[in-house]
Amino acid sequence: MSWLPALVWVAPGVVGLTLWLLRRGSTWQLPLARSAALAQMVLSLGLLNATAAGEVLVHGFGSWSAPFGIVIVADRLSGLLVLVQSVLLTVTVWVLRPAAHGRRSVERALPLLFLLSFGLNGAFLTGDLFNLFVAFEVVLLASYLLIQVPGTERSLRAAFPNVAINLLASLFFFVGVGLLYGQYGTVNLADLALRMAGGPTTLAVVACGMLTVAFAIKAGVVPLLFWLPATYPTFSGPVAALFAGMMTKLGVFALLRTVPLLMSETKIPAVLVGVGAASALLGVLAALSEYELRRLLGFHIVSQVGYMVLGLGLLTAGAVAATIFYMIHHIVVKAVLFFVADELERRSGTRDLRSMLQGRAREGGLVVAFLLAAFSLAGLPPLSGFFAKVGLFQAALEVESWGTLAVLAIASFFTLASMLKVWRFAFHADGAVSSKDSSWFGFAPVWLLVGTSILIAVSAGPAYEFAEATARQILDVQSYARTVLSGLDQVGVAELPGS
Amino acid sequence: MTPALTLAVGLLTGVGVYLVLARKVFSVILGLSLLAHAANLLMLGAGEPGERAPIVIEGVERHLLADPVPQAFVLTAIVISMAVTLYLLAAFAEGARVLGTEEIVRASASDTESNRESVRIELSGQGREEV
Repeated sequence: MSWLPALVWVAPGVVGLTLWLLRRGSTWQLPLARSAALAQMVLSLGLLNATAAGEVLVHGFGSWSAPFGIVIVADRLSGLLVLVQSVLLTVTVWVLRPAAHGRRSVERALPLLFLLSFGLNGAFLTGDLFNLFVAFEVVLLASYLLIQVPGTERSLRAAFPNVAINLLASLFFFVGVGLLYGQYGTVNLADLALRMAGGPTTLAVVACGMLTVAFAIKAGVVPLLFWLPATYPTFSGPVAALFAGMMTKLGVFALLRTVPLLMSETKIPAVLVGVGAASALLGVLAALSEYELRRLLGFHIVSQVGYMVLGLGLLTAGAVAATIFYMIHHIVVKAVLFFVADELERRSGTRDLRSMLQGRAREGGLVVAFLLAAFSLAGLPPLSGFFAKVGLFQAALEVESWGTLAVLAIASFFTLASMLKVWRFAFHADGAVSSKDSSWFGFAPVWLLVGTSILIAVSAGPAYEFAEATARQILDVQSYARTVLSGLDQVGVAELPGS
Repeated sequence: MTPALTLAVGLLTGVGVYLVLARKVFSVILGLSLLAHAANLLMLGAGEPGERAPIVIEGVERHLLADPVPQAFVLTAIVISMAVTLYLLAAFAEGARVLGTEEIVRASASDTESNRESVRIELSGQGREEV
């Protein structure tokens, strides 16, 4: 089965190139993209099924074993994220339609979306740090081009700061990898983890710090967040939903992968707790003062990524499990909110909440989707966000971190307050009657995501158990390293080179 | 790392940071590519001769050989940074043409009543469709 992760990784790249060839007015492009996205979802289900029991799939390219060859490694966390990513891609591709979003925009966006998916899968499945860097670059190149898809002045203005800050983050990442290689002579994560187990050298701690800065920029936490709310509103609607769901979580994923393996003996997790708490609070306060719908939601992302980074920083099994649960819940719910925002903006012809007051935007399905997602985000029971937050609160209680507990509670309160603000402006207007909108069918795919969120809530017990199993797996550095490096025993290498 | 390499990395980083902090878009692009050069040289420094030589045959002097792995890394990074620099230059040229300025401008001007119509056109995806 070790070919499955390789196939899951490479397939979207091939599809993306094909779609690029079909980009000029071909009637085949959209149907091909839609069916390819569905097929990818099925493949990802297969991958999650193969990893769910706890097996770690290792595939060495050209049959070279780690640490000499390049390996891809699929564990529970990879399987989970690949699946969520492909669900989100499918919904995005099905919501994108020429009639609503412009024919040229759709033609340009489709190949890039699959390129993005190619990069994301690479990041989730890679077993070494340098390939993680390359996967990040693939994702970034796709995102640089996607930001230009609407072809407006606004997207031109937003492009440059976005590229510049991400380029700086990449340089931090690259230098961090270089320093680690200089110290230990390897970039394979499992190999690095074993060599650093005795306590990292000073230069290695510096390198880990640089990696953390790079990932924190991608995740958009305080104080490295300002590119995020400036960028997301400029994307074409459904593309913004995919970004809101996945891009910052790529940073969180990279932290989830590297912190237990490389940084558990440094002070970095403690720093992450502080940074996470600050983001959780400041992000939501910024959201409260915002009137542009998608900027408001962007600041919410900052706040909620703060929750995740905080949970990760605590680095107990319970806290990491809560982080993973929170991450999956948040990807789904945040994307729903951005899809709703896209519909609202297009129907009311404005981005500003205050102008939506005259709204012709209200329609039964839209209201229900928004309410479910917004209340889930705020953490009201019995929705999925409630269980995510309970997990985090419990984890903070366990380590008796009262300060973070207080910050989490206050931030949750303000999240609800800002959601009520959106509700008041966008939906709860006097006099306006819900419009007879013929595009309910176009919004229909989003119900797959709403359904996923409800499913997480209904089966919260088993879902939480799965998150705990995933957390145990990524925290168990020794068995991860042994599985990845098991090829060494077969070729009979007695000791690692240079040791 | 040799003293010359160290000096070069330091110099490139210093000039790069200075340029990145400028307001002109073009200076920032130059600064970013200088920083990329600095990172590449640093990566090369990680493969100092004699430290981790490649697989060699008998009779070859080990201290003369550099580690090939960082060189492969740098090769990859050069390709990536070239592609991104090209993209940046294209975005810069288009930005200078459409926006009429060569400086970095605020990305997020909120909607006002005066540009309601352009916002509506933008949201309907009809942006600059002809391009």
